[in-house]
Amino acid sequence: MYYFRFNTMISTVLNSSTSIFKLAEDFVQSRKNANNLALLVEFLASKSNVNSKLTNCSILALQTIFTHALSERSNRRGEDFGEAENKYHEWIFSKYEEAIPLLLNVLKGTKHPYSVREQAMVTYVNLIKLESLYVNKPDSKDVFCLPKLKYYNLLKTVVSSKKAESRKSKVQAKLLNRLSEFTALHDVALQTWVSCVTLTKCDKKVPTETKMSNILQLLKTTAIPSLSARDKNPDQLIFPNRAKKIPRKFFSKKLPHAIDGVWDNIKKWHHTESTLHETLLLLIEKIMDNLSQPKMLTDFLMTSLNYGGALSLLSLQGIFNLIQKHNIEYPDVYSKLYSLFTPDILRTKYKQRLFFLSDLFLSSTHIPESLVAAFAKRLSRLALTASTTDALIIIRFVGNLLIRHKSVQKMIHNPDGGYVECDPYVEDEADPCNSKAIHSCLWELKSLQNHLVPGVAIAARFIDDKLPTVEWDLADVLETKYCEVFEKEMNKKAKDITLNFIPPTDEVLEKLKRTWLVHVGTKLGSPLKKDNNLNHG
Amino acid sequence: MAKTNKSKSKSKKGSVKKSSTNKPKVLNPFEVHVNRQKFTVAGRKLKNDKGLPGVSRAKAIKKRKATLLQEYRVQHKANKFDDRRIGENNKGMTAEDRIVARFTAERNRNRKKTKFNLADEETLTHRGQSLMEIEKFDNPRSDSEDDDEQESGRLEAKFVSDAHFGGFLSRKEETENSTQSRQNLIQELIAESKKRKAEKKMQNEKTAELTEKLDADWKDLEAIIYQSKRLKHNENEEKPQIDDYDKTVRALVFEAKGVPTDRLKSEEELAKEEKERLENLEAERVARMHGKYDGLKPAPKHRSADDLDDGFEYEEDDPMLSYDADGNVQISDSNLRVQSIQDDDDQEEGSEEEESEEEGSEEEGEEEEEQESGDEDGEAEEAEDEDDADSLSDLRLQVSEDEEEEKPVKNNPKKNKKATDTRPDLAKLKEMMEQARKELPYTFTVPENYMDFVELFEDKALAQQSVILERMIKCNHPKLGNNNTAKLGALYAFLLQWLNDNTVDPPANKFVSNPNEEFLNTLLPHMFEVVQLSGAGNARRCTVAVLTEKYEEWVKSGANTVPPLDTIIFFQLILHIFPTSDFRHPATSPAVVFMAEILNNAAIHSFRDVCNGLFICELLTQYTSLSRRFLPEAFKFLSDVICALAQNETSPRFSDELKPSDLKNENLLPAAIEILHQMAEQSKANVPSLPVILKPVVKVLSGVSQERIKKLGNAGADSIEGLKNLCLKPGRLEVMMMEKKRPKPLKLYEPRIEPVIYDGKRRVDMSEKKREKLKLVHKFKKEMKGAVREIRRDQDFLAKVHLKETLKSDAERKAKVKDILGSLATQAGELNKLDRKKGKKK
Repeated sequence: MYYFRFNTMISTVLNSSTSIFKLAEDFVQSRKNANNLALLVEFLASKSNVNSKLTNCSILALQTIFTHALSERSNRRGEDFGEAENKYHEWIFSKYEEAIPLLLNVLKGTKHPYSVREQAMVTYVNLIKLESLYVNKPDSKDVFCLPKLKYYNLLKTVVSSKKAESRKSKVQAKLLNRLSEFTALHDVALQTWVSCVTLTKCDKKVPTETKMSNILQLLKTTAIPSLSARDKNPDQLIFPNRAKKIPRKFFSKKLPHAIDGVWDNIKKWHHTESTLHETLLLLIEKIMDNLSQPKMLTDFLMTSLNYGGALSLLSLQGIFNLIQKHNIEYPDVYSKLYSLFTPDILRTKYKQRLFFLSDLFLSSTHIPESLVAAFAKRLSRLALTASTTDALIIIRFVGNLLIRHKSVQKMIHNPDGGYVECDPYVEDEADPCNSKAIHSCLWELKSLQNHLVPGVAIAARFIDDKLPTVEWDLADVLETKYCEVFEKEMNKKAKDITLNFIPPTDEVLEKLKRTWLVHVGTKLGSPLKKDNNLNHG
Repeated sequence: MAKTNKSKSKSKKGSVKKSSTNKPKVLNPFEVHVNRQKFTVAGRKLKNDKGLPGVSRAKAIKKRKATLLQEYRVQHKANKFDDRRIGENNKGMTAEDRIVARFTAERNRNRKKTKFNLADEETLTHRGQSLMEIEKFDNPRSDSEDDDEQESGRLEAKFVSDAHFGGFLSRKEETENSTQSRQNLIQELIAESKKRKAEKKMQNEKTAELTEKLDADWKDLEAIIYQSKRLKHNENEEKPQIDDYDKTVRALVFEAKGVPTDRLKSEEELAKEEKERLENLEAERVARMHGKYDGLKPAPKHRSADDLDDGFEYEEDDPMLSYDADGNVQISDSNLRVQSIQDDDDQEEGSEEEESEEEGSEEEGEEEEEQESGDEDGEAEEAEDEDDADSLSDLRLQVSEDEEEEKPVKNNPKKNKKATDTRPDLAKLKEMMEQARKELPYTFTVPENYMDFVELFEDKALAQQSVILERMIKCNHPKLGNNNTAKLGALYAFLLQWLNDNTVDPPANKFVSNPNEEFLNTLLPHMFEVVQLSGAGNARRCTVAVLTEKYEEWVKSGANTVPPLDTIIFFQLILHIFPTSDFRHPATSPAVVFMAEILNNAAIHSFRDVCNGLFICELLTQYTSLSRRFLPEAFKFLSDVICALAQNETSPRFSDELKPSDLKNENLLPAAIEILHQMAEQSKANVPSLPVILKPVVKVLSGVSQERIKKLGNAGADSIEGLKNLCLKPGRLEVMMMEKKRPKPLKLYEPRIEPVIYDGKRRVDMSEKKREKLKLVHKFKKEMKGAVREIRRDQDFLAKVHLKETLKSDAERKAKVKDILGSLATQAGELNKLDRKKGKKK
């Protein structure tokens, strides 16, 4: 009977956003209206509620109520409350515990649009923040962090999803993006890493691809907490006032341990290509420098190096880091790098990374000239079919190689002279040292001097003059886009603009007509220069 | 003062010496102070070796009296007397000068009041009479007359001499008039005098009367006389007019002098000139193609010390005359190369184009003449119209040369054939043109805005549009002035917009007909002419603006599609309007980059995309037909298309939505292969790595079965063969070597000789800036010291004045006190005296 009455009340009272806000206001104003809280919680819990606008309002109202109620008690901390007062607060806290999973439900469910779910998430975070601020005892051990289980539940909800539908995953990405505002805070990040150890574990069931990529996305946006942030930048914390309460050992022991745990778990996943891709990115950018034993990564990187393409590139970067910082020896890293240079890699977005990395690899002065020559040759070959922007990068890159390694300069200036019947360079040779590139010449650059885009042609002219002593800065050209080249050509100041002095003759027009005819659909049977069989369609 | 003047030797130190005489000043040795030098330095000039302390001090004191003392005197005074009478303060003026100056000022002040009253000018007088009156010439009697009158009014000289003074001594008295009394004599004299006066007066009146009468008569006569005179004059004048010689001379004198002109050129000469002009243009084009031409003569980088500034320049590119071991003359390679390129070009296209160009220009000339003469009589024009139409259609519609012109046709029979092929079409067009000619008015103004332009051109057939344009250009030829260049510039912009608005993109999968080709071909020649007339700057600005707009549109649409024809058509326009062979050109280079980006990025969604892409490639082939450069994107695109079509290979370029059936058009593959072949052939000479580029395509093409190749037709098969040849049988490669550069000669300058001046000054080697600063610092110090010294002296001077004043007032007081005391004493004395007297009395 009561329930029924209650339900009717819900439907009668809570039919507009103003009435919901009114409830919250009334609650704040007087204790008489305490039952409003129960009303709101019940409303949120009711299955029949599908109105997302009202849901949003009720979430906001709950946030107002709890913010008021929870802080009210803490403001009067130390006072001796009466029994009734204690009971009241207990009741409120029980309602709070009731409301929290409801918020997660809203967040999890697909029936509400993104804005409502986002609001649910934000309110959730705010509420658990309030809880740890006001409800937890001040002398508790975990006073500096959010309620552990609740936070874990939040992460789990955000990350997991039942179906990998495209629209939803977009929402997921947005949610993750919103969450990253919190995970960028160092104490939250600390907690996130710890929670993720459990989150990434996959004992029995294999995580879905969406979940994997969500977790990776989450970790990617999570900061690596540092002691300095704790000590110097308290504004990077969620509880700036409790910065000193985070023990040092959390940073020195627990965090590396957590990261190791996360990595161990991630390593064991059944990766697809895309997740492996993201994993490698995460590894390079975040995890690698914080692992206790980075050398253990070698196997993983070796395996992924064989995938080819962008994956190889990323793992190569990892390997490079290992070589550089941890003194790992990797025998045929150069031939791997060499094999990476294919026309396809120029179409990926990792082009810049590749050039940057290869520049680093080849910056050593202790590599054989045959190797450098092979790289120069292979890259020049690439430039022959590459886009204008890539050609610009490659020309600079090869130029730098030639400047760096004097002995390779004989590829552009062979004092012996003479002729060769065919290019001695062996294109298909896997080992760059055996490609005989050093006996070849960079005819490709010579060809590029006749590139139709003047910028490229001028860049390729460097082989005609004495090479400069200082290398070109590759960064200038790495980011060049077509529109910039276009703009540059547009803004080139010309002293005098010339006009064509040959009037459009019918010959030229006839030649063009041939292609037009393709449009028309007429049969083309005529050889190139004789337009005998030309007919108008 | 006078004392010192008289006895200079006695003059005291410190006294002011002032010589009133102009004698050269003789320095008093006692006044001279000599600064003794410790060492004498030869050649050193000293400014301050001696001075005149007394003189300079006196000068300073005088100056202070004039300035500082005056200020001191009026120090605490609120009012002061300022004498502003003119010249009162100027000692240089004498009293008379002052009076004159004041009088002038007074006069000026008065004149100011009547500044605008022009009639009230001062009256000028002559002998007390106003000049105005004199100038009226009312009485035209001259002074001499007056004199005569006076003279005549007087007594005769003889009479006077007899009557007045000579009376006693003359003989007459003795002989005749002894009886006549003196009284009689005088009365006679008076009577005589009066009579004479009366006579004179009467005579004068008579003369005046006569004069007036004469004047009146003359007025009547005047008219008749002048008339007859003029007639006479004319009669007299006619004679020299008949004189041919004079006439010619006069005519020649006044005629504008003829400027010597060149004689009319014969036809061969005209042709030769035209050829030379084209050759020059071609040479410039080739230079630009190699990126060397700079428009202007480059400034010489290096100036030799031996440069005489006479403009002579040692040219580095000059071929050096040298001999090899056998004694044969050698010519440097680079020179030969340039020449050979020019030769090639000339041979290839020069001959044909030159001819057509020549004809074109001649005909244009004719037309202009016709147009001019046609203005006079419209009928003649109409009669000529047909003729006109013939020549025009040749020129404008780009129909090849007529068969009647045998000379060029003989050389290339294929052209001949083509002409016959297009014959029916041509005839139809001609007919339409003629019809259009008759229907349309003869003059057109360039529309003010695009709306008017659209109004004019809308609903007109192509032939009519062509005629309108043709006439519009003629009516607004820049040579007619009237800001026509700007008008044609606007016309070009309208045409661009018109082109844009009227380009139709065929539907994605179906191609029935293509209206654009005819449309563009009609407009193009006119646009070419408009651009030639309105200037390159405008053309470039408009075209680039359109290009930018299209580019932005395309980028906005995602930059990954093949743009529709209304974009591509502008590439073709640029191809015809601007020289595509330039190494860098402000209009063509951006277009090339745009096309490169299209070919690189575009994903293919439909049959139309492939066609449009191929069309861009074809355009690029034309772009590079002279410069023989290459664009990797085009090769990549073509090979992608060929691979996809020949082997049904999937390429990331082709989108998944594209059904294989869409590309089943049997024309696509041969077209792509042909374009690729043409491109490869063109760049063969310049691109040694061509085989590497072609390798993947050729590999795919070799896998194509013979049956399929047969299906492609002859052209396709030939192209495949050609590509295979290019790829698999490359010529030998030249090992790369940097060109040997002439060693840079050492720069030889003449030694820098600096004059050494031994004037005892220290010359520290420092920068100009620092030296300037030091100079300023030194000057500042000097001035500061001087200023401090002056102030100190001012104080001294004032103190002295003060002291003098005090002493003076003290003295005055003392004198007064003394005076008072004295008078008191006298008073007391007198009192005592009186007392004493009283006492005595008492």
